Amino acid sequence: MRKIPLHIIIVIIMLVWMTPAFGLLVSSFRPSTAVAESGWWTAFQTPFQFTLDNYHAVLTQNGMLRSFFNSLIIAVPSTVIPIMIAAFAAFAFAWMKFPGRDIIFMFIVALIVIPIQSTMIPVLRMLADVKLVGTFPGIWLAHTAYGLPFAIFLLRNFFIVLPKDLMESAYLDGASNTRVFFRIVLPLSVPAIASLAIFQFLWVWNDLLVALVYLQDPAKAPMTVTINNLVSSFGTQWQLLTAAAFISMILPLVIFFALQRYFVEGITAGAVKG
Amino acid sequence: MAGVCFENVTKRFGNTIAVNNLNLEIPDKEFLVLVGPSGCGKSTVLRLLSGLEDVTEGTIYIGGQPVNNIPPRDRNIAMVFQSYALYPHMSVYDNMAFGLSLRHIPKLEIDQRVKEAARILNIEDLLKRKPRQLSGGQRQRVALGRAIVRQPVAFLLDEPLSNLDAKLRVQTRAELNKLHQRLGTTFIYVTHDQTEAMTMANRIAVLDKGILQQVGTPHDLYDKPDNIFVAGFIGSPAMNFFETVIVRKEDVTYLAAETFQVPVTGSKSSQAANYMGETVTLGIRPEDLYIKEYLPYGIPYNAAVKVKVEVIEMMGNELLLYVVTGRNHFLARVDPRTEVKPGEDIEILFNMNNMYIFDPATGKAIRA
Repeated sequence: MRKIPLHIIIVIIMLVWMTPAFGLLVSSFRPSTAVAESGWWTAFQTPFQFTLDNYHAVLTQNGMLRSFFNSLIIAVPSTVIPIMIAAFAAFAFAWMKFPGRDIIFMFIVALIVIPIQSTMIPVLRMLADVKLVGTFPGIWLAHTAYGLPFAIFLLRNFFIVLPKDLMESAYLDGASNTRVFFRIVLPLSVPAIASLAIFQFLWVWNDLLVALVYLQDPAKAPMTVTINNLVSSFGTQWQLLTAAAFISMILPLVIFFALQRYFVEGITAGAVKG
Repeated sequence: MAGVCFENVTKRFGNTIAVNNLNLEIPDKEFLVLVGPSGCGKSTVLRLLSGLEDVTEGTIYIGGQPVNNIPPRDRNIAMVFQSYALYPHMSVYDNMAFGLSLRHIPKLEIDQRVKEAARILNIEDLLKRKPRQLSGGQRQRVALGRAIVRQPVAFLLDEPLSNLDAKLRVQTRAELNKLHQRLGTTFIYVTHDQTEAMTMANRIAVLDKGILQQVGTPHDLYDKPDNIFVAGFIGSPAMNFFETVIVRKEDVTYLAAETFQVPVTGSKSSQAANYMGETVTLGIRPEDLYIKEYLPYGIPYNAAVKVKVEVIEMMGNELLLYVVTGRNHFLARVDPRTEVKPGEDIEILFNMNNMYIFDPATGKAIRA
């Protein structure tokens, strides 16, 4: 009973936060004339004027479908590659002994504070030297480099709280470091890896700046770049802009709702334990 | 199967000496218990033997072969951890089979070994379960099963009973003893509980601050402790100690405490004479103190000490009397029929045939 007022407040805040997004969603299903004449809240009065034409127009006439696949081509490897590398590195930092281990780890964690913007010109030059500007491998490398410090930090802090006895038991059973990593550590680290995958995927999917700077090829533009271009060309055609925005949100929403359990676990699992 | 030998083994962690010049030989098939207070180095000794820690100095031998440079997986020993260390994402069967699969043992043989171990430990119906679905006692048996299937030359057990409740601990002690007899393999068992040590071991090695204090059968350690530490550690309740001075009156050597004096009898008398006028420590076990009314037939006594009763604990089969004389507080285990009240003045009889004298400077027992 004592929690009812709190729950009411939470529901009110949730409704307030959702209202603008809901309004945009409704607008994306309204014809241009309706959007120009009245607010989205009038859409629920008869006669109903909902249409899929906006989504059709965005997908077929403005390259949004191609951009959707470009976003996938960018985001998936840019998620998988840093997680793989970070997992290996995190295991070494957590469970292997080598000279300078802790200093190197501190250095990597310190890289988190470097703003991406300050690295763009030198990185662009490096990618140009190896002829990777405007290519998918180039942007994969960039996202990998930007994502690794946090990924290593998160996974190392998760790995280090795994019971030491488990590793030692595996060593005594005859496992090498590689076997311990693949047969013991990775299976136990699914929550942390899943939450890191969500963090990294959403970050890359929603990225505009890195794609603008390093891709520079309209044919390879992800959805964020394409929508950014649509803002200037569509101007005040809110119904088309909102349709484009919601197309770009579909996949992250699906991933989030499918894996939200790991997202919550991940916040508490690796990032705050040390 | 093989014996184990520690030759001048020392382990340092920075400036801390965890194990100090350990020399210990463990014959094949022996059940040896390493016992001592927390931080005495007993778990470190186990970890050195398993290869999880490297020795700083000295050599460890397994089956006559030095193993200092051999990694843990190649030493052919199996360890049961205090926490059991079961792989939580694997079933009981897979936990037990894991080590064998890593060594590329054929699947049929793995299956046979796992099922045989499960049968010995009575966990056949648990093979498909995950560790989280098991009780503490079941997990402990799975941990043992995982060690048994490896057919090692030695089993290392690091306080395996500490997570069990008292009743299960007593039951499991007996089961471990039976397992040792059945397997006929060297068991090296670490515990801080001297009751476990006394009831399970062929021999006990007592450690304190990284130094081996004494190694011997439970009987030897109980009856002939080499020093005051072993005397106070082995036996429950612990031995009583009194600061006394050796004096001689009318051709009898006495140990004179603050408020009483007791004669020194037998061979101890000649040893005590070497310390005439010096302070020594008198030790006597609570079970060697008696109430006159219930003095068992045949037990000699030659010292009666007046004490005041402080606290009485009724244990059922015995009475524990916490008594005081002067500044000496000590404990007596007496017949449960004894009728005393707190605050009452009584006489306690000392069985001087079972008393011990220790040099307070070195802690060593003074004996012939």
